[in-house]
Amino acid sequence: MTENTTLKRKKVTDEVLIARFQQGDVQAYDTLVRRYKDQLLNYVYRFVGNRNDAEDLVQETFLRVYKNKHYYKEIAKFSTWVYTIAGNLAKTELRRRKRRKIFSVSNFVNEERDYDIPDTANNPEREVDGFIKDDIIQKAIEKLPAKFKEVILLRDVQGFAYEEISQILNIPLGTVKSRVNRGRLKLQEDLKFLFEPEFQTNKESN
Amino acid sequence: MSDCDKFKPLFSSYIEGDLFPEKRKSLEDHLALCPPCARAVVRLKEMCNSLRSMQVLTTSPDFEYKLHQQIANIGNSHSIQFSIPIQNWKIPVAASLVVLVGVSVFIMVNSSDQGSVNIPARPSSTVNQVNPHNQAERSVLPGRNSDADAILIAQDSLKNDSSRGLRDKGLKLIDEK
Repeated sequence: MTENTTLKRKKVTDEVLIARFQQGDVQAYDTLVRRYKDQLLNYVYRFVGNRNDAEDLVQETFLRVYKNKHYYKEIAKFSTWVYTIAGNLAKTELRRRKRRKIFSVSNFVNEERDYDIPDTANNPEREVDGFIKDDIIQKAIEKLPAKFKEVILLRDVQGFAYEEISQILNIPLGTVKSRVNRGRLKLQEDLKFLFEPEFQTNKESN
Repeated sequence: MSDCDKFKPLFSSYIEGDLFPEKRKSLEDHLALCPPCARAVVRLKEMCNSLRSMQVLTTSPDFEYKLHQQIANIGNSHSIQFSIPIQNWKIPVAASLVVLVGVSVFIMVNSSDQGSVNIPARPSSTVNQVNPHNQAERSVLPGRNSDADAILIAQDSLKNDSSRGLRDKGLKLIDEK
């Protein structure tokens, strides 16, 4: 704990790095890219559901940081700023897909509750496989309305505090909490079979 | 509203340990009596744990290289953006200069014509022969088909027209005196 604290103290903060970059230090920019590229990729990927698109959007996010570095003011955390940019880009991408009608969610999710009753007899290992479980969760996340999806991703996948989410999305704290709760309830309803205690017991006995 | 619906909005805060003691107590009392809600809370906890431990993706190895290339492209596009307006400036400025020079020459020629009294006027018959306003007449003149000739004829006729005007004006003034 003490070691971690010491390490954190020694680490140059994002805000110092962006300030250096604003004064022309390109290495500071590279450090910020290295710090955030994977985090942002996970956030954007969970949002849009396509790895290549996600990587392009993260590239675009960092390009915008590069081009608009002088718009950043130290009143906000750098992470808040960069996540706001990435989130807006991801939402724009989803709207663009919707407009062009190329947005196709897998039938697995689109069909009415076609995974509510799992066929454990056919393939009992399927549900325990981490990758498949991740995939099922990912599809269910994609199915969520954007306003729930963004708070769930920021809170439960990225681990942001409610206050930070409120700043990133520029919505009141109470709205964030309410959306997190409603989003979780909706998601767990869709993923009932994965987390049903009876099902877990059956799985263990098998 | 049933008891379950009343307690549902508290589930999230409950699993995060973010409920006031009184509310937590009343929810726990309800959960003890309501197996569906108790199961929902367990599912919610499990789901949040699964969300936190989802597979972490990493960017492709050439991510930074691609980013730097794009940044370099921004630099190039900036220089293009600068050069295009400069080119766009040159064309209208050059065109304006040409027009300005043309107008100045025209004015100078006119003023010098008006200023000189010694320019003899051509006979009216010659003037009539090369009337610039008569397109058909000009185009059928023998041996005068080229543009250069047409311009010369036009200039001559303009001179003659202006000289004739001056001559008429002078004659009028003489008559008056």
